[in-house]
Amino acid sequence: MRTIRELVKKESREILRDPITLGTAIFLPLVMLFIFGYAISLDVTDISMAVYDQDRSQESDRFLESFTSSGYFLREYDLDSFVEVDQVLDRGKASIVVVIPPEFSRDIQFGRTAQVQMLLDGTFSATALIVSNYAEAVVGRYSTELGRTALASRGIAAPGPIRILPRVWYNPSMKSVNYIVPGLFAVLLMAFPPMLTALAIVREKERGTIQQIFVSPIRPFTFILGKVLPYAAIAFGEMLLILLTGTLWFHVPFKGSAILLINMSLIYVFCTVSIGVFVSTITKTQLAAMLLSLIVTLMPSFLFSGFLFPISTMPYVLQLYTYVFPARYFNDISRDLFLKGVGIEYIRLNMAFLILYTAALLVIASLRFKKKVA
Amino acid sequence: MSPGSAVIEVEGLVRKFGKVGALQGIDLTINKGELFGVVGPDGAGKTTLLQSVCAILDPTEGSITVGGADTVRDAAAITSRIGYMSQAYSLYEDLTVEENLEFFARIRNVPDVAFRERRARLLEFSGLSPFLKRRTKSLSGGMQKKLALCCNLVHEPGLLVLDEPTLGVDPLSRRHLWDIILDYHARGKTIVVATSYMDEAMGCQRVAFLLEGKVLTCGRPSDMGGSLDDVFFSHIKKSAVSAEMPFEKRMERDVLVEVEGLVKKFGDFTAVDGISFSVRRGEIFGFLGPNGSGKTTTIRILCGILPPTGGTVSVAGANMAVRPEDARGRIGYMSQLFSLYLDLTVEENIDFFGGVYETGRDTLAKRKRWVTGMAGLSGQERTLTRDLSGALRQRLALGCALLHHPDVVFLDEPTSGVDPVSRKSFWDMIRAVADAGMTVFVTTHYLGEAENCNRVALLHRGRLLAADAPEALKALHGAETMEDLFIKLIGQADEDDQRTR
Repeated sequence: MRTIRELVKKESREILRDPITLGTAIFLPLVMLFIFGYAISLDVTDISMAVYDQDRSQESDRFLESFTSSGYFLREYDLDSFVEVDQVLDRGKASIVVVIPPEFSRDIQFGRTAQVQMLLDGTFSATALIVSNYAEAVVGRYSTELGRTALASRGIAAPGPIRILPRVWYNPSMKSVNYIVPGLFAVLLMAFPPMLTALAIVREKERGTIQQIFVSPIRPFTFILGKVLPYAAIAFGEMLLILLTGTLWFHVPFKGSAILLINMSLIYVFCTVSIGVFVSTITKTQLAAMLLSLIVTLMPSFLFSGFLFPISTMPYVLQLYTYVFPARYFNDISRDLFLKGVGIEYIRLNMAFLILYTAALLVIASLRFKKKVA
Repeated sequence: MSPGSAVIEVEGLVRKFGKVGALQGIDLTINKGELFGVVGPDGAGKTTLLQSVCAILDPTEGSITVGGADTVRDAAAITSRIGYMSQAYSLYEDLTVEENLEFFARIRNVPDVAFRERRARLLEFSGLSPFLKRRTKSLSGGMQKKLALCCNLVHEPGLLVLDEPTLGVDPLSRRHLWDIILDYHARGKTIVVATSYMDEAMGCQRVAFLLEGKVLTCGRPSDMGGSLDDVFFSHIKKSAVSAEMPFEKRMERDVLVEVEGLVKKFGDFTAVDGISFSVRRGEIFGFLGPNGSGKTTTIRILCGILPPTGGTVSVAGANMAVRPEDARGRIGYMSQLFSLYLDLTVEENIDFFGGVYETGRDTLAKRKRWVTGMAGLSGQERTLTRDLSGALRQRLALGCALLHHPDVVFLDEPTSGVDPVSRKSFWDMIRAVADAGMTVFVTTHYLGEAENCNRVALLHRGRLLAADAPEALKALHGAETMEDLFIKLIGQADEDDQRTR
């Protein structure tokens, strides 16, 4: 116990005397939080629309107005030829081009089915899909209105159309920031704590100071704990800082229990640091430790935690693969607590996984940590 | 355990790293209370043997027991009782002197009362008291070694294992370190020490001479026939220096280095305090002084990589304070760290350094042959530099510094940690370089080597205490050896300082 205290004291002193590293560790995640919080947005609004109206009638005007009045589309270009249509799409000026044929109003007058062409920029397929859905909804509503007016003019009262009343649970305003930021907590904590911890141990190997630890009564687990505790404290501070900023600055609604979230964060913090310890047992130089910890932590956390890409849509094998990376568990926990406000009974499984994962890493690392130079 | 009984028993010890056998069958017994020396050339297996004894390296074959405990099965029992000062840097450089001492005492579970008493005694004896709050990284090399030693004495181990404790340390600090070691030994403790200084080995009760992973001979130094140096020279072949230099001997300009009133300050600290000297063509000029006396700073200024604060410096006709770029191409520099690329082969290193100075292809081919021949590396052109011994690397580094045929070559502690035979052949090489009309400017802590210089300068606290031929200086101050001279002059200067203060 006393030895651990001495190890922690020594480590803390070293950390405090290197304020640049400490500052980087604490504030860079904050910077990343701001960058990602603003940059990653899956919301689609203000879609720039170009129009090639060959009909130029009252009817076509009214049709186009239904787009702009929906609030999603901005009519930015009026075109006069198909050459211009090509140009607008090629240059990426418009995400959607609506082409109205010359016979549009005549077809409607004579009760024929009128046709309208929509050209979409499909470079970002997800965005294109949303734009196309919006446009379809606008056109659908317009044609229902058209039918009702036609029937009314003949004195027939048509039944109102069936309207869907969607109620979105958990993130009712459907703002993507509410979904991105809780996921970022899991990802950002993977950026520095594992690397710093790994470097702290490998540095002693590179310098040779570790030989003095070898020739001492310190047990491997004690030594590892002496490294884990100070870095877990830093990581926890880092976590609190981004949690507070996330809720106060980005106004991410927090529905769950704060105490539960803090406890879960604490478990996750130990998990990230343990990864660093594990990395240090298989590397000998600081450079290798840095690269390896980035490869096993930050990259997979972006891809396989469900942070950006839903795990449920991945191929089955990759879905299993995601279980290797603990960011996935905390990502689930964090979103469940922030957006759903669930109690501990719903996150028990993820919590158990995290605890087991951390314990397993520390045990393996202690077993691998031999007090031998080769 | 009674005095004289065996503490360390090594039987049939073999240790391999991959296919390389670092130790190839060692049998040794070291007794309680003994002061036991381990000597041998670079790569003989000294460090491997010491680490095996400390139970931090498992034998491939054979066994070692320390105080009855086996190094494989009872490693914890051994490591918790012994002290080990590795050759590597063993202190936490961002911690202060007292924090380091406290840390090493605490992890050894030294009781508070005992710690306070030992701390006071060790600090007093080692002269570290004035630096308690100083961070370890800003201590001089000698002070760092003393602190590392104290950190190992604070828990009073029965067995102390020291791996070249005086490496890179000035003669004064070296003598001081040995005072501490001998004092500890006098208290009945067992000490095993590896060293490349033959005078240190002569002071041990018994010495094991290691060569290529085997014990060549082991016994009392006085029984080894005269001096240990002779043992070295009788067993190790000195590599010959090929005489043929691919250079025309230059004659123009006689004085190549001229320093007048040189001052260098770092903030409030004056590293070099108004020194003046000049060096002629073809001279071997030795630059001596304790750690932190300003030697490396001066060399860096002479090389033009550090601007002086005051005074004039001219090297090979270039004014180094104003236009150091004029001297590039006319000077060569070999730093303490040997600026070789370890992941390149011998030939690739030579090609690279030749390329840097835009040496023509034919000239480079000729000089390459000369460098490999001189360094004893013919036939090993494709060997990775990493796999060379320290002595070979050092000669290769010197060769690389000479590829562009400089007027002056600066060598900063080139022979640190190298065995006597390799040092001798290195000095043969230096003499050949000087004979070819190049000026050699060299710093060293091996004062025996300083006898090889045409002239030496003694630097202390940034001031020049003396500069003349070794023989003249010894005669003037009535000193037997260079080491005596060094200690005498430094001691006088310190006394003068105290009196004026």
